[in-house]
Amino acid sequence: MPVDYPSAAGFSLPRRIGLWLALLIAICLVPTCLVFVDETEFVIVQRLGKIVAIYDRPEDKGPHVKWPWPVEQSFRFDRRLRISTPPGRELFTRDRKNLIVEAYIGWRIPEPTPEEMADPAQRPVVRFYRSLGQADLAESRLSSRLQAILTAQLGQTELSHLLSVSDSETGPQPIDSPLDQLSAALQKELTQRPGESTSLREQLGIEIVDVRIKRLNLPSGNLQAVYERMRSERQRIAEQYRSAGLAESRIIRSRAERQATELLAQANAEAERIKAGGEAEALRILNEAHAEDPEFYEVLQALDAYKQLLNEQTTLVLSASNSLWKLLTDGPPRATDTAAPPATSAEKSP
Amino acid sequence: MSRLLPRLGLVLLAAYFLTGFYVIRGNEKAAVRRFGRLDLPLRSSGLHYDWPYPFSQVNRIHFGALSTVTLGGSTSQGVNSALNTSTSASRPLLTGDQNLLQVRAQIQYRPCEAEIGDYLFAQQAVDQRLRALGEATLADLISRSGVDFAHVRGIAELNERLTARLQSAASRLKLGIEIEQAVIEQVEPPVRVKAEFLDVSNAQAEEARSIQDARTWAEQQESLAESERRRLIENAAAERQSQVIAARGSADRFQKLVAQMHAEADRLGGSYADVRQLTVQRMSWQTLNEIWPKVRKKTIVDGSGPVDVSVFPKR
Repeated sequence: MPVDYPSAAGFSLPRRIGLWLALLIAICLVPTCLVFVDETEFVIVQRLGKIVAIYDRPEDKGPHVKWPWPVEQSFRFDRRLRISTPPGRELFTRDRKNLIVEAYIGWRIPEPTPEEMADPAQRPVVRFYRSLGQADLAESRLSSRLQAILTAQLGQTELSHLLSVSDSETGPQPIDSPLDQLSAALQKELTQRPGESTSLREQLGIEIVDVRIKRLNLPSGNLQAVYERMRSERQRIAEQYRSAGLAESRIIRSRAERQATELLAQANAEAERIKAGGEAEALRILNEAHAEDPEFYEVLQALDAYKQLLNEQTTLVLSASNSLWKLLTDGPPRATDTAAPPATSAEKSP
Repeated sequence: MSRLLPRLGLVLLAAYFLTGFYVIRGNEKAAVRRFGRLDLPLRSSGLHYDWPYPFSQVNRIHFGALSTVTLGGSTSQGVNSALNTSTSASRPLLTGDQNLLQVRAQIQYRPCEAEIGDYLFAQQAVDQRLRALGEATLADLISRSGVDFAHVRGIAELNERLTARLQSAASRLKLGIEIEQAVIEQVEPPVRVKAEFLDVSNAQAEEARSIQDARTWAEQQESLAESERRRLIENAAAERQSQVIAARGSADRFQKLVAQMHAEADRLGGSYADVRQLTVQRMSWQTLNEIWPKVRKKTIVDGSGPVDVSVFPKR
């Protein structure tokens, strides 16, 4: 037999409906009573349009409670650094050279300083909420501000200051970089321009953390001329290399020729000295030997000379007074008479 | 039905709370944000439980993994890298001497455990920030370099500078990462002037070859001259030696003749002059005997007057 439970624990239908409605409302509203302040966020709580809580300090991260919606509403703002990269624009330098300059901005909503903590309206997140409210608007504002500052700054800078390398073989020198200087000037002016009484932080609740020129380029209309210049420069450099090679090789060859000639000359001189030494030695030996009987030596020399001089090809014409003829007719002279060589006229036929 | 709904609710609630379990792999650590606040220390590998989403959120980080950001290219890899590439990235960079170069570089980095808060929460996308920083640093270095320095011989130095500056900037700007290295992978001239740059490279090679050829030729010349020098010295020494030997021979012959004549004089009991006279006579006749038959024609003229030898036939 089925048990007859009292319907919904004895609640009547209207009460049951009311119970379910209350549960539903509680499920919907209870989450709106909780605010989790994330590591990446700042949170502002408004009660009926009035800011009643600002969670922007490090110690505010974590859970908080508030009145449920619609009594209190929370607004979240990304506290992380964002990178904005406005598109590059063609700008003119002081010397009327056009350049395309691209920069990026690193910005964020900063934590409040102790001075700003005293007045909720002074806190950066509140300023950001009241002045911009959205990151896209902030980026658009920063982009146009950057372009204006960049135009002014570049207009005061000559291209030769930005690109000042005269030698194509030169590397970066250990000096302040012109682009870093320009970036620093951009960051300074982006934070507060000279004519402004308040900084960007005080105006919009934005802190500029980093501004840098990330690209310099030439407009497409100038590229053809630049390519032509690069071509002619490359051709000139190629010719320089070739001529330098030729000149160097000529120097090396001529130096080698000179050294070889010097070496051979020295060798010839040395050879002559050696030969002269030999001749001197031979002369000394012969002189020592011939000193024993110089006259006999002369006779021997004359006879040797005849042997060498006269052969099958010789036509001999002798004077009747010639010693050779006398040798034939009178016989060999005494040794003292043979010192002088006989006068002969001899013709050697080929 | 009235009992089913509470039970179903309990089951759903239990299932919801079960989603709080999570597993951290051996090469990872996890940063847990509970109610939005970072709850340190980092969770190590293993099974963990925390409040389910949205009360807690878990970020898994592989601290050992290197991530790569490419500059001037079209790819970006790594555990946290999922960026679109700017269209400007492939455009050439202006060098300090107003030339254009296509430069492609890579930055390798890893998360820094000691600065995990900065890595996860200080910027929207760390690789986007690193890319912007890298492009700016690269543009600055190239804008202060000559085209030949950046294109050819200065790449190693530029790599060192790029790495050092990025490491310094990452630390100063609290990116929460460690830069392992930055490498310029490719530096090329624009396509329209590539042939001329190639010609310069060829010209450099030709210069080196010309010089090398000349050095080889010079070495050959030096070697030839050295060998010629040695030949001359050797010949001279040989000539000297032969002269001395010949002189010694001639002197020996002469001295032996003289000695023999002395000996003959002693043996015969005569004077040396007489013996020499006899010797000279004998040698003279011997010489005449040798040479007289050889001579083709002999003409004897009166020696009192001049003789025109041209009247004699040549043969």
